[in-house]
Amino acid sequence: MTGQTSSRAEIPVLSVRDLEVTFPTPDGDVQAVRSVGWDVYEGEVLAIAGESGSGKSVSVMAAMGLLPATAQVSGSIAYRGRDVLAMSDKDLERLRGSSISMVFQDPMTSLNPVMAVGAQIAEGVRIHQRVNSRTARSKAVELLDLVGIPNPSQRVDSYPHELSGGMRQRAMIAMAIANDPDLLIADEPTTALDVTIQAQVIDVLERAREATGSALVIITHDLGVVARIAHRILVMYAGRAAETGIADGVFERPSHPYTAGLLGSIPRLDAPKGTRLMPIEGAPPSMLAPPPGCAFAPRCPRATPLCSQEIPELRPIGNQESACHHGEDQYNEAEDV
Amino acid sequence: MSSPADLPVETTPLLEVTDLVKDFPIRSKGAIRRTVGMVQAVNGVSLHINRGETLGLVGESGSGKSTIARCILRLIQPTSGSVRFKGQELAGLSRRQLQAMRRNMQIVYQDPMASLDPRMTVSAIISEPLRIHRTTSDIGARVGELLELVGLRPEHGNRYPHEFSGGQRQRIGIARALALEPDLIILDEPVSALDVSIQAGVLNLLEDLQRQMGLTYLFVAHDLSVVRHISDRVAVMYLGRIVETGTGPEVYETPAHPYTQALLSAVPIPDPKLEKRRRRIVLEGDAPNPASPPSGCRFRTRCWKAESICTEYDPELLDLGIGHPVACHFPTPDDLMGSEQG
Repeated sequence: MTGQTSSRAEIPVLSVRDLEVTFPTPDGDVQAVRSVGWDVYEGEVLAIAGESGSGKSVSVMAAMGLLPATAQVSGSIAYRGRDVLAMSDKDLERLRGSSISMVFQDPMTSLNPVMAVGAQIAEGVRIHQRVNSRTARSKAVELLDLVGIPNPSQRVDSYPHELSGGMRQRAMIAMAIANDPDLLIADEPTTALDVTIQAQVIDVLERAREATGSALVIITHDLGVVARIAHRILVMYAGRAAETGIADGVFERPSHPYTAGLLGSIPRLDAPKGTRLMPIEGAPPSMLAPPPGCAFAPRCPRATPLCSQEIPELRPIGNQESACHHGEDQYNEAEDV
Repeated sequence: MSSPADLPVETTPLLEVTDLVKDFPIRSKGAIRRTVGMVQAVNGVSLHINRGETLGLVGESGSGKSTIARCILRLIQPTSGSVRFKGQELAGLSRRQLQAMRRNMQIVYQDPMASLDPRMTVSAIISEPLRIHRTTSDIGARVGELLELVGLRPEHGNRYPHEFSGGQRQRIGIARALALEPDLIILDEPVSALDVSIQAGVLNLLEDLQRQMGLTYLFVAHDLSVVRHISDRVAVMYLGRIVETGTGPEVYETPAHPYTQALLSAVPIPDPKLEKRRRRIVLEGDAPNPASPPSGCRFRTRCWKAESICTEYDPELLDLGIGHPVACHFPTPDDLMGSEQG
């Protein structure tokens, strides 16, 4: 499992370009996502990381056509070269659940509480595959076994409330991979779980990805989880991409002060005792009226007058891409340390 | 902060909890709610906190850590056990005596939006304890002082909680807890609801306040990295029991209980290269139902070291030559961070 997919001749499984998402509200337009783009290739794990309100989930929900009708979405989203935003509802339905599937943060709200988990998995199988109910049921048992649910042939008849949080999340993953998707999208899949259960679920996600050979997009605020599972990372701040690149490189030599700031503010289990945390001053901007120029400028230790005038475009720095006017300085400083 | 062991400076710990038990009844549904079982939320916990130090109480959901915090403050009544604060037993105190005692013990909750009254101004919130305990005549000045102490401005006092960000709200909760200059502050998951960039500022503030004011903290949290960062000593909980306790380095660098080892190995570190070569112990299954805990050692159902003795005898929290107390029949110190072993 190496992070490198160096030959980029192939077509990405999903390609997002110039994505803009706006939510009209009585107080004005919330600019949730601004000109964000990313690709995910076959067999690859892309992490979209950011704090609350950074737009990380919204960008993916837009790609899946799951946003409320009031959301204004523009840009292009292509699944293997086909335009997703132009698809009919019927085509979109076929795409979701079979080619692309999702795992959400809270399995209790995404599972049907009055239907046995096995029946829910079997239902998904029968929508997308021509099989009889018996085959669908045995497929459900097989899937529950794959995600490590003990006694799958009995658990198949359990209702969601009879399962623990970790087991429910496994059932969700089983459902998500039921139709052998090309792309699995997991939105904060481990956030509500205890750390020992979180480790299990990450293992199951990796196993599921390997079993199906699908690509994985994982949305998370936890940089530890990113380090654990991702090949590439996209760091988002205030609706825009701050930095993107191979995960190893971004963690070792961040080229955006926000990424560096995030890494400095996390207490690490392996940090020397007594290490002072380096918080990022201030708070994220309101998405109703984002500041002109770089949205991070008001909190940024490197900000210059240029930063509050001109929005920095994402551009190559080292092996990464950074949306910072002072990205080179940040990148070179990381090397000196 | 801590005095050398050979100097008999202060022998009584600020807080001493002995054999604390808290059972919650499980009641049947319907008009006659009979008690049909007991959840043993806390099952014989003993701990102490010395003046000026931070004890981190860490565990996963349902381990009983918050219940302990609530029992110490008598926000709930313990089933049995003793809680001594400055040498005085809290069990059996009258309401009036308890109220006087609570002046010296304050709590900061996880969710400031739920613990700050949305219809009160920040000044009113922070001054409420001052008014109840009638400690100062110049309340206005004291509120301004407290706001500055937690990194806010005195004029923020006229605003309402919803006008603040999550980090600022948590600072307001801290200012309220500090108002009566308590000896002990119980911090119950104080930073779990905050984004990491904000969390770091609150943790730094807590450290600074402790240094400036000689505060003592009981820091209750599920995040092992945060607990390691802030604590002098740590107690790890599993299913209502402390399974391992010691100084930060003892617990984090030479964990000897299998649960502590599994817990530490499960915490992802934000370093992809290190993550790839770390040894990981992935526990099977979930924690058992606290209404019917396993016989013997409560961890044995998920433990890879379990033998028949673990089913029969409940291991006591003892130092069996490890250097710190561990509740396990087969404790083996293990340096998990020295990763290279496979």
